[in-house]
Amino acid sequence: MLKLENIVAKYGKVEALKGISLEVRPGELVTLIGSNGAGKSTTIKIISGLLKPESGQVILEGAKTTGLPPYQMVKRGIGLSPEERHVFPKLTVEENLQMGAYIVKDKKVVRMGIDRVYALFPRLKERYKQLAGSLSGGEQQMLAIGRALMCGPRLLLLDEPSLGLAPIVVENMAEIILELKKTGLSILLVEQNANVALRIADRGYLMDTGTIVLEGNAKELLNDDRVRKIYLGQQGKEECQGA
Amino acid sequence: MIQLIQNIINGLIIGGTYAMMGIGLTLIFGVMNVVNFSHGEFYMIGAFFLFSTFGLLQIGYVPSIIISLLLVAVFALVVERFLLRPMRDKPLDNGMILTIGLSILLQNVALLIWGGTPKNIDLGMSMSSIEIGSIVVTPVRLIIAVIAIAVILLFGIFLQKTKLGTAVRATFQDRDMASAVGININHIYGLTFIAGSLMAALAGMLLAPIYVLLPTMGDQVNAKAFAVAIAGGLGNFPGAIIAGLLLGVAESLGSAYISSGYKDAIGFVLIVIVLVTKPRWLTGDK
Ligand SMILES: Nc1ncnc2c1ncn2[C@@H]1O[C@H](COP(=O)(O)OP(=O)(O)OP(=O)(O)O)[C@@H](O)[C@H]1O
Ligand SMILES: [Mg+2]
Repeated sequence: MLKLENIVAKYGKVEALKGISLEVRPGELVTLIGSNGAGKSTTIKIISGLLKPESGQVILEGAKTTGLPPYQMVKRGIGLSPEERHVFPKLTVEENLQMGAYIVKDKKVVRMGIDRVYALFPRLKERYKQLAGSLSGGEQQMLAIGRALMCGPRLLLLDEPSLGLAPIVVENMAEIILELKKTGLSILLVEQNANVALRIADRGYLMDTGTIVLEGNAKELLNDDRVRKIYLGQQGKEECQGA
Repeated sequence: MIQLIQNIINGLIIGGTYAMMGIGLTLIFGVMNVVNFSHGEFYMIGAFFLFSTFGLLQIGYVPSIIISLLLVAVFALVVERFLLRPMRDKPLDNGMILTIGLSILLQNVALLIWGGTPKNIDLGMSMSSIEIGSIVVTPVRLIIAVIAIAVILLFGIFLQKTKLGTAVRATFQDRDMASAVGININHIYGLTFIAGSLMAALAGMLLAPIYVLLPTMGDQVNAKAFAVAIAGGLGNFPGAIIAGLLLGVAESLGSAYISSGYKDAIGFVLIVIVLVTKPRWLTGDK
C-alpha cells in the first residue's frame, strides 16, 4: 500500500526525520508511536504531501509520489485527519464534510458519504448546521475523521485522534478505528497514547528524535521492555509530562 | 429632510462601488495574503478598457463592459500566474513592493496609451432625471446602483452556496488543510485574484460615465478601497459591504453639510473611528 524509503525531512536547518523507512500493507492498521517531537506528525506531512522530503522516496500503491502536492495525494487515495484537527472553523459541519469530498463529482456519492459519516458519528448529524469552530474538541475530532473519509480513501492517516479526549471517548474512538479497518481500509495511526494504539494495531513503529528505533508486531511491542519503560509506564500518572 | 434623503441615496449609490472595491481588496488579502496596492489600477484599466472598446467598437455600453471585463480577467490571470505566484510564501512585504511597482508601471503604461488629458465616456443616454416621489436619480446612477447591488449579491451567493465558493472560504480559513482535502490551491488563488480584480475593474467601468478618466484615477480610489477593507475588517466580506456603503454616505453627507473639500479625508476618519472603537461586526465576536 504505502512505503517510505529513507526519508529525510527538514524544517529550515533542523532535521526532523533522519532517514526513516516504514511500510503499511493493504488492509493493515499500523501505528506510529513516540514521544513529543519524535517526528510522527512530520512523517504524516511527508505522506500527505504537505511537506517535501529532502531525500528518500514515498511509494503509494507501487507508484512514486514523492513531492506531489497534497491535492494530488487525495486523488491517489489518501485521507488525512491531521494533528489538532484543523476543521474549517467558519464552515458548518456539513460544509466541512462536503469539502472533504471536494474531488468527488457525483453529488449522490457525496450525499451517501455524508450519511455514512453521520451513521458513524451521530453527534455530527445533530449539529450539521453548526459552525465547526463551535464544536467541542471531541466533536471536532469526529468531524476531522469524518471529513478524511469523505474522499473515499484507501489509506487513512490519523494523527493523534485521541488528543484531548476523555478516556471513555478514547475507547469509543478505538472501536471506530477498528470498525473502519474492517471495511478494508489501510490505516496509519499516530499516537502518543501507545497503550490504546498498540492494542488495536497490527504492527507498530516506535520513533525517537527522527529515527525509527523499534518496529514489529503490535503485541510484541506492547510487551517490549523498552516500550513499556518509556511510554507505558508513564500512563495515568504522568501522561501530560514531556509536553 | 428630502435633501437629506437625497444625499443618503446618492451616497449609497457611490458606496456600492466602494463596497465592490473593498470586497475585491479584502478577498485578495484574505485568501492570498497579498496586500494589493495595484487594486486601484485595475479600477483604472477597467475604465480605460471600457473607454476604448466603447469608442472603437461602437457596440454599446453593456457589450463593451463584457468585453472589457474579459480583457481584465486575462490580464489578472497573467499577473497572478507570473508575478504573484513566485511571491507566495515569501514575507508579506515582497508582495507589497511588487504591487506598488505594478501600480506605478500600469499608471505609466496607461499614460503612454491614453495620454494625460482627461477623458470621458458619453453614453448618449438621456440625462433627464427619474423622479421617485421627491427623490431624483439620473438613469446612469440608477444603473450603477442596480449593477453594483446585483454583482455583490451574486458574489455573496457564489461564496456561500456553491461548492467552489465554499472552497474559496475553506482556503481562506486553512490553506494547508484545504489542499489536503483535494482543493487545488493554485486554482483558488487564480480565481480569487481574477474575481477581486474584476470587482475593481467593474467599479471603474460603472463610474466611468460620471467621472473623468485619468491614468492616476486609481490612486484616490485605492485609498478608499483600503479604508473600506480595513474598516470592514481585513478579509471580512460583509464588513466590506457595510463599510463601503457607510463611506459613500459619509462622503455624500460630508460634502453637503461640511465642505466638499474634505470629501476624500472622510475615508481616513472612518478608519480611525473604526480602529479606535473596534465594533463587533469588525472583530467577528459574538
Ligand atoms: N513547522 C515547524 N517548524 C520548525 N520545526 C518544526 C515544525 N514542526 C515540527 N518541527 C520540529 O520537528 C520535530 C518533529 O516534530 P513533529 O511534529 O513531527 O513531532 P511529533 O512526533 O508529531 O510530536 P508530538 O507528539 O508532539 O506531536 C520537532 O523537533 C519539532 O520541534
Ligand atoms: Mg505530532
